[in-house]
Amino acid sequence: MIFGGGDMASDYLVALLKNQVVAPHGVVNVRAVLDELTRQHRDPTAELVALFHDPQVHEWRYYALVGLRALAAQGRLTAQDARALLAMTDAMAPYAGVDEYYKSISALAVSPQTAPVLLDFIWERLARKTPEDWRWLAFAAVGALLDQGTAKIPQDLAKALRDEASNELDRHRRVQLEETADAALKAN
Amino acid sequence: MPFYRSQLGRFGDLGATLTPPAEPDLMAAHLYAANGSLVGGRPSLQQVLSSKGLWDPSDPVWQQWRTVFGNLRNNYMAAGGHALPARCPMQWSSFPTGGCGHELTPPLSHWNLRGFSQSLPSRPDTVVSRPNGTLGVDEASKPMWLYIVTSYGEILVTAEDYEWIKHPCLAGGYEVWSAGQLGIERHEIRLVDLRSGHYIAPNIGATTALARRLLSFTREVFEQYTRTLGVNCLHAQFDCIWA
Repeated sequence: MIFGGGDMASDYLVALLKNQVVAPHGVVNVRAVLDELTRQHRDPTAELVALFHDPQVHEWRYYALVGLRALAAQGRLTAQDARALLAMTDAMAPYAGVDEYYKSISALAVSPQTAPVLLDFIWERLARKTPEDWRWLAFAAVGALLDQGTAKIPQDLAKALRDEASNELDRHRRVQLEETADAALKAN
Repeated sequence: MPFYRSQLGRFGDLGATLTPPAEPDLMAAHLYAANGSLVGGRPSLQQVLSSKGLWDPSDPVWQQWRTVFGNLRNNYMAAGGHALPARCPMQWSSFPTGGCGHELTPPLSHWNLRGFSQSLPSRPDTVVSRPNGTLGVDEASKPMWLYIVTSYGEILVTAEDYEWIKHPCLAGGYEVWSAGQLGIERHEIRLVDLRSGHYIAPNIGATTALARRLLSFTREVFEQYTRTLGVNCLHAQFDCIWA
């Protein structure tokens, strides 16, 4: 990671992030930044989203996303914030890899407030067939919801997933997709 | 294949250039063991083993663990478990299809679980309480501590340095049987998860039979490793979670 400066709007947050660089490891302890923002009664969600979209400090986008996920995992995001997080994930994944989706899915799945947004995410993957690993991602979201027990998979979605599972060509994956779809059907 | 041409011999060329008449495999091994930086004299084998917590392979206690691990792995395999293939979540335009730049990067430092546990008294918590009442590894607590279980039963640990060091860096070519992150609470390992973008996420779906077997296998490996080898670092309520 290369840590640069920012414009006026994000200066404060960038300064906090820079102050929390863990030197030997070349990473930022975002938890300390979130704690500081909370202590000062600031709005970490709004500030992280603004930082992510500030083109002057785009090198800090990654940590804005990390911070937002951490807030999601603490149940501090609304459904609208969750949609913003997924949009940020869409923007980051082409550079940082498909793993960004798995991390966001895990973070959103643990809260009943944000888990329902993943249902829309699953429908979207089935409809748009993007990004490249869209089918596996959709089922990863189903699996996360089943694992955390935070949102019910509607019957129509479970049936659509069962149909989609059989389209998977990789046998190792297909068996698991069918198993996940069956679990979603049974959970209803 | 000579060591210096293998995945673990990534310092091989450097090793060969330091003292050309010397055995390059030996040089590469020294450099790798010393985290790529040799200042002063080369460390002895015993110094390297001690610095990382590794047992001499002929140590009777280690031999005992090898037997225990062999049984665990055989049971896991009989239930359908297997070594995990790596699938890099990033696309590398300059690499052949399936190539992974992480594989070519050694960790800045690494230990086995015993070596890592010696530093636990100075490590901050990395566990978060989640709104559905579960515990997880806090992604915001950096550095993230990554582990793998190798085919010979070792649990290796490294930091996710520069957000670049990933599980394949730690594996260095070894077969990986489990991989994830460590959750630290009050200087003990409270939980381990199975979050690995290379080894788990692209291969195994949450809540599947495969996932349940891997969770059980990983939990048993950590519990029996620490019990057999006398490594006292697991929390009384230690758990292995999916994510």
